[in-house]
Amino acid sequence: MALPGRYFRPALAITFALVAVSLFFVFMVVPNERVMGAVQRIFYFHVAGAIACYTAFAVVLVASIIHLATQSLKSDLLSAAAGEVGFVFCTIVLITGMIWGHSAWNTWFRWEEPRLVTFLVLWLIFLSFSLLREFGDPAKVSVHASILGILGAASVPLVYLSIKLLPQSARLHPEVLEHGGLKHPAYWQGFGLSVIAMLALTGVLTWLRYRIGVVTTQLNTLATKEDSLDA
Amino acid sequence: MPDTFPDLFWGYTAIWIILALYIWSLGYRLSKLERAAKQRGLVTDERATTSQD
Repeated sequence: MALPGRYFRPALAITFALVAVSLFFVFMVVPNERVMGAVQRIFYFHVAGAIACYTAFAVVLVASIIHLATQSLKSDLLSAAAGEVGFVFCTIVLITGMIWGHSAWNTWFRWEEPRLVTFLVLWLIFLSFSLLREFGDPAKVSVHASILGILGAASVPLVYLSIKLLPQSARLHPEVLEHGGLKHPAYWQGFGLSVIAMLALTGVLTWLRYRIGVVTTQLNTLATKEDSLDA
Repeated sequence: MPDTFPDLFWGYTAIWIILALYIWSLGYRLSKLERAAKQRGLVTDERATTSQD
């Protein structure tokens, strides 16, 4: 397999190293949390995964706007790549959140909690985005997907702020960072490393997925030329 | 404090399974496309395609 670009292998190596270091830190350096015990360590990749997915959706937003404004092929391919990778991280966040929630609150999912519901809606929007890219009308899919991508990315602030819709006493999803959690320095260091590792992984996966879009476009262009010659 | 290690184990297992499956699918799709491109004599260079902009 011809990897995309000569900088890809070093980027991949650095990413794996970052992931390995962050895992080591999370499991061997960070102390056990007093109340929740071992399961609290899911926090590092759960929240880092959420940050990675929001970043990917921000890329979708910018690339989609550029594509609608300029019909740029590169921005369309980037939007498709970032949307798919963001959806994968969104899935990771949802599943780890449910596992952690079951451990901490004895419930897999609670429909009264706005953060959980809005995040599920975000997941469904980007599932639709990926399915549209896969099965949509080729003549119109780039425009339709760009519009859906913009709407999906625009719902990210709603996910983040939804937790404020309920009074403090009724909230289920914690606001660790906002309320000064992570007091031990190792917690912050572990969190920082996890965020950097997940962002690096998002970048590398988006790059690889972008490459798939490039080769697919080349093949489609060739097929179109062959069809027009045959005609 | 109850033992929450099994939940931690399943949480991280879910992360790595999802990532492994996705990375495998990316590799599989890219290999398949590049084989098809090679059969058609295409130079699979990013600059060649995106020069359409």
